[in-house]
Amino acid sequence: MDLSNHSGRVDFTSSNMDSRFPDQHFPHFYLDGPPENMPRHSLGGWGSYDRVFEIRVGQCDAGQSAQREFVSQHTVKGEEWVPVKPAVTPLIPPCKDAKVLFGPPPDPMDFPEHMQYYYQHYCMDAFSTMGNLLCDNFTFKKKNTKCKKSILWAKKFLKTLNYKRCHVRNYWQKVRQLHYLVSDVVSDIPPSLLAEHLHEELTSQREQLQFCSDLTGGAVGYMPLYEAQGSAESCLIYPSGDALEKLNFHRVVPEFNDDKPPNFLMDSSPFAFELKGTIKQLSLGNMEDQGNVGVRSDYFCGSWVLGGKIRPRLQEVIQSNDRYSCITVSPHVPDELVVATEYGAAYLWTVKKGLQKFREEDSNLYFNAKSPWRWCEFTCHPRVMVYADRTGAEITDARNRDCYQTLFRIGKTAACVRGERVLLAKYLSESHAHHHLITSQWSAYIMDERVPCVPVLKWDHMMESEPVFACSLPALSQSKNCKVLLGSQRSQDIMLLQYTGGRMRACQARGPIQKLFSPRESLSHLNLLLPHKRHLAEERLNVPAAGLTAVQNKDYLSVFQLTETGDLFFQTLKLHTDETTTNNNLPEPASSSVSVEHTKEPGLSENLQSNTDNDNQGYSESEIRQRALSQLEVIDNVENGHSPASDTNEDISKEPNGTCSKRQPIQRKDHDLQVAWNKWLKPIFTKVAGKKRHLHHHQIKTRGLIKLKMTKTDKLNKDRPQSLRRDLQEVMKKKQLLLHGATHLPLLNVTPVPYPVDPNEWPDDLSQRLTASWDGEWKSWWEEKLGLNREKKMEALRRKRRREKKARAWSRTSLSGSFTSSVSYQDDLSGYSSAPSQGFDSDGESLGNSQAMEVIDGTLETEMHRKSPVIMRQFLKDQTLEQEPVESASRSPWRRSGPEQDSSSKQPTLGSSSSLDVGLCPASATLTQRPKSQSKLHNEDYLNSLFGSQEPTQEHAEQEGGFSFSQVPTASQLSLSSRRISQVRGSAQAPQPKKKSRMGF
Amino acid sequence: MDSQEGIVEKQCAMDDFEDELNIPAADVDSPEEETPNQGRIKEPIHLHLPPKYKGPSRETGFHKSTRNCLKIIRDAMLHHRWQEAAEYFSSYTQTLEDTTVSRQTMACEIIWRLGTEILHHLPNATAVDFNALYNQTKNSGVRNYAKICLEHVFHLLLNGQFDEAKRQLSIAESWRYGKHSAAQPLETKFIRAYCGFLDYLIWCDKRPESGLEAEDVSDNQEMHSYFRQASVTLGEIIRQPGIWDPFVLSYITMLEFYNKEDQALKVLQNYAYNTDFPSNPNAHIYLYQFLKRHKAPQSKLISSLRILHSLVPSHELMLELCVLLMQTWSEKHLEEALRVSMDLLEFSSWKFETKAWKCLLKIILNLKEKHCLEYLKKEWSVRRSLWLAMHFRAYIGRKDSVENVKLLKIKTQVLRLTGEGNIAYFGISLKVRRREQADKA
Repeated sequence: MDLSNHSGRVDFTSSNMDSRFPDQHFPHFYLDGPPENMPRHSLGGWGSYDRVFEIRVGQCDAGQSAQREFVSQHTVKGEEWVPVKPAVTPLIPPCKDAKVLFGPPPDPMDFPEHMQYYYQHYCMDAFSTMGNLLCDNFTFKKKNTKCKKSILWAKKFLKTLNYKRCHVRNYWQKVRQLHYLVSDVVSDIPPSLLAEHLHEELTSQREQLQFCSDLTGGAVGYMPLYEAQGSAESCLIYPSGDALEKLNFHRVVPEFNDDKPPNFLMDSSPFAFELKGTIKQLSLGNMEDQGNVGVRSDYFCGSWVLGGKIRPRLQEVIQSNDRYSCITVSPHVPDELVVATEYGAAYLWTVKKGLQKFREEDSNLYFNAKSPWRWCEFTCHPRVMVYADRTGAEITDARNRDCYQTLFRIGKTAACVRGERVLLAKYLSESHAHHHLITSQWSAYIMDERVPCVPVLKWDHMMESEPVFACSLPALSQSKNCKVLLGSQRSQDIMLLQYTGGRMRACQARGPIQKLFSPRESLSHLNLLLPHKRHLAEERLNVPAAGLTAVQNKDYLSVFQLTETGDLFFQTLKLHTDETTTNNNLPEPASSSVSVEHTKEPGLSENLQSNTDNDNQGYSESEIRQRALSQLEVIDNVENGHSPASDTNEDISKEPNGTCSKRQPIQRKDHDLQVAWNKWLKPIFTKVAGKKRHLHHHQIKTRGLIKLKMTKTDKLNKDRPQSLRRDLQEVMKKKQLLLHGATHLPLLNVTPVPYPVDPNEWPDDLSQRLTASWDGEWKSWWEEKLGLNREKKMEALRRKRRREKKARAWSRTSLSGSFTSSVSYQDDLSGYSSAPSQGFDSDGESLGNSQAMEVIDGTLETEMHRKSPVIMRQFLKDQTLEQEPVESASRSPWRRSGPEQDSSSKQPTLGSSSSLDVGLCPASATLTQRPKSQSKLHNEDYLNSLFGSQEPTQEHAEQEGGFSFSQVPTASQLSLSSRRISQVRGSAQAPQPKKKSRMGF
Repeated sequence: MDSQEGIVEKQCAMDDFEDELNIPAADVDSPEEETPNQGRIKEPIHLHLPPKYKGPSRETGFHKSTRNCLKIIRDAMLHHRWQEAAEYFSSYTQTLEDTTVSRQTMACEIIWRLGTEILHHLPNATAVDFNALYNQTKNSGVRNYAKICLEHVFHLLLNGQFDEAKRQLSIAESWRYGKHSAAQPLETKFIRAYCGFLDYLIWCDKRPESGLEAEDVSDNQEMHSYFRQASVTLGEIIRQPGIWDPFVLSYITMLEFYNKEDQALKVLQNYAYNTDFPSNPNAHIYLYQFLKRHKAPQSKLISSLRILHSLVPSHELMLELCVLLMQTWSEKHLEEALRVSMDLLEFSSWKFETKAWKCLLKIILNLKEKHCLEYLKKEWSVRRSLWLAMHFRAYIGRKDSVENVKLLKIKTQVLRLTGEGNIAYFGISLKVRRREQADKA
């Protein structure tokens, strides 16, 4: 049966198939009881097949083993949808009056401030009653009439309220006395009551900001105006206005061309209806001769009707004292809707015939979730409804109120986690007549109403905030996938889930979940804006989403997203099939992009590394450069006349990229997109620019404070700054230093370095402790002091003697060998470890060792300290730290052969000395030119301790073939960035106690 | 009254549930004061915000960078930028060096999940890579051993490495690791079940051609041993409540092969009628097919389908039920058949199904033959409003006339038999007939 039909909806012949039932389902445990699992991570279903069965298990005939065919519940590959543009595009001009709430959510504990504001600025509301009573006895006038008391002082007090004031000023006495007397009667609303209500209000406001269930279902819809699919004329229905109170029916003609993404031609102005409340939800029915549109506001619901030949027209409005929480238009019978109220009642509403209550619950279905949210959906049978709340969903027969059956409940069977709640139920009538979508904070379930309680499919949707919008897109042909789009409010996420089955075969999820673009991400794909404009735009784009709808046509999928400010955005995705690979603009097989490197080491084989082929490098570098460019360009679009598309964009698109990566079209900036966004952003900016700014802050005149002393000699020095500037520029060009001597500036007073403190002159305990802690040995000092380390010391001493004996036995010529061996070890470890991170190893054993060593070498150490200049002391410190893990054989830090030797035999912590393989910093390069001597070795060590971490990183990056770190294009940036990374790495390395754990697998 | 009692019971249960769930007790409002409470949904806990996150000061640099790295990987994967994800993932493996136990066990699972998914989407990943990743991850975090084993086996099965899968499964089955193996009971059960399932598949291969004699069969000792293994494990798993369609099918196939029909029937009946099990239409279908295969009496077939009707009135076997009922020729059964077929047609998935309408028409004609049209009248009076709106409105008529004229005719006939008149549907039907006559002429 060929069902391929390139229209937006499925042919009705396919509904025949919906009556089929899969001959086997994937195995599944059915466990009663509340969920036990705790929410763990948001990486849910990746890399999992879930379950597998053999297709022909029942009719297994002998000798058919070759044709054994297994299917899994989650398949690896799905349809590949590639975004056509790198970001969403605004569809309609922004609503200028929309209020944008930005900033931290209100804190309930801020209520005193709110109260103060109220008392201060709305004093007539707050105190008028008492004021009127008291005005006979008190006056603000200075003159003391016989029966009136002057309270002029109060005026002064009130004036000071505008400033931060001292709380112990003496007229506070009076206020306090007055407060004790009349505080409970003076205000119209008792302060405690007001505080309580304010707190409650702020709490609920905060909760509303975090999650607002009112908008569940979404308030945007797309409806074809004719049932015949040939004409693509459609209607986009969305709310607008600053409170989303205006209902718009906007005629749209999508232009579908074979090789171009669809273009939406909007009428100049929509049909608009002003409602008396915010539009919370829209629900669309099927378009036949005419189609129903259900509109929900807090306390009323309305049914509109529209069609190709008739203008949108209101049919009926119902009102209630309870808030409505759901409206759904029947997909089966026109003019039928279901509504649910927060009171727990659900009604079947036949337009112009009245309401029929079919369900009423005063509590939640399965446990007390303390939520008044109720939801209703139709099922395959026009008189059987799904009644859902936060705890689950039940199938209810509207003809017989006692007849109900669980469709879904939060529990073990569905493998829910603790705290999971139903957020949305949706009947997927277009995809499958028996399927329902149920979403929770963590998962999305497909339920088949014929197999209640057990989900036929489950995804972990991995969205950042709760999915409350959903849009189902049926498969356009039998070989294609059904799609579900989930949308969230706060994070504006849209997720694309694909699945097949439910008819002949069990449901299967196809491919991994894909995240679509959200409006808030789009700024990064546009030209950089000036900070204040960027801030404005961010504010505007960060508002929560309010709805989601999508329309598909052949290989294109257009997704519309509404935000709470009434802004509509759309994005188009293209189905990536094999034929499109020839298309230059679209993905080519990614054979060259990433490959798996087969390492022989068991511990590292899942390290995915790219080939170091030139192509790849070229790609990544060019991409990086693109990114860098996109970061750098600043287009001055301050004032309106500027052409929105800058030339830099074209430069970028001209950039040679021989290796077109798979997703590269996304990275490239889009001229049309930029134009559309500039047009969209303009009214927002101009509106703000038009606002007059009132600067409320206090101004202090500084003219008198800073007076430049212009003396006679200045005349002479006048041209000095100029020459200085010139010199500086020249020097900067050459990348040299501007020395003081060359500037002809007056000589600086050279302040001598203060005489180093001699710790021996301060023998008292405190000073010694301070000295120790200055050297970072505070802990060991205390251990020493308290005698906690006696055993360790003895042990260390013993060990040291043993080793000395051993060392004597060893020949000293093995130095070079040990050196190289440590180098190779470092290479094996992909070379992150740097000397400092090793040195500061806070392992217990090494601490003990260091302690022991210090005791032994104590006198020598201090001597060295005393004699050496600052840099030497630093060096010594490093030396000691490096030696800690090893043995203390080197009495003098200048003789390093001992530790080197040991490091080869015992512990590879000194391996960082390998970092001199590649001269990295200029300093080290010059140093290595010196004749090979012992002192060179020490210099190296010292430098390693300073810069050692840089080199391995680079080495590592080279190994990885230009991934992440080696992509930095110019050498001047290299040192900086790699240093930063090495810092991160170094810190990352720090808590690692043993090298062996690296081989963790 | 019953429903009220039910509610009371439910509320009692609810409180227990709440205790168990350990939900923070929010203020309990009286029902009339149900102010907006809907913000109660707790925010999902994300991995990249550590569960006990108490400000940035407590987080080490290592944790911070791994967290950020994970975030980037996650983002790249969600946008299907697999290459970028692979780049970062190569660095992310360092998180295994984390010394915090909880984080490390979590990291193992994350690395398994991310790693496999990324590998799936890299063009040149080989079976060796997958094996290495699965083997290393399952051993590094033993807490997920069973789950990863199972996934590994699935991967091998899907890629046609049946023997290797079998080997891995038997390793996994014998795996014991103290508390850890006991802490993964469901997965362990699944491993055993799949062991049995694969045994069954091997048994299938070894099974001789169906034409051969039973004596020849008895020679094949190896085959019998597979049967024994498979039947024990499969029998064990399908006693647990759940949906076990493939396992039940394979178990029944084996039992039938060895002529153990009684046992098979018992298994099927338990699978279909045990109240601990979820309602699964397939269970009833298997039972019905089994009965049909073994030539059970008609009454038994009807009763088994009746139960299916009460559970899934939209199932396609309802047509068979109608046929069976009609075959008995009893008035009562005919009435029931009418009800069943009308129930069926009320589901939107059957709305345009010609065979269902045909069946209904046949039943009505049967009734008419027996002069029992009052049954139809009775049913019609209940369903009239719905049926007129659902099946016989003008739009549907026009649609039928375009798409399926045969259906239009059947429906017109049904409508006429119900005694309705003066409905737009007739007009459309008339128009079509005239057009057809004109075409013929």
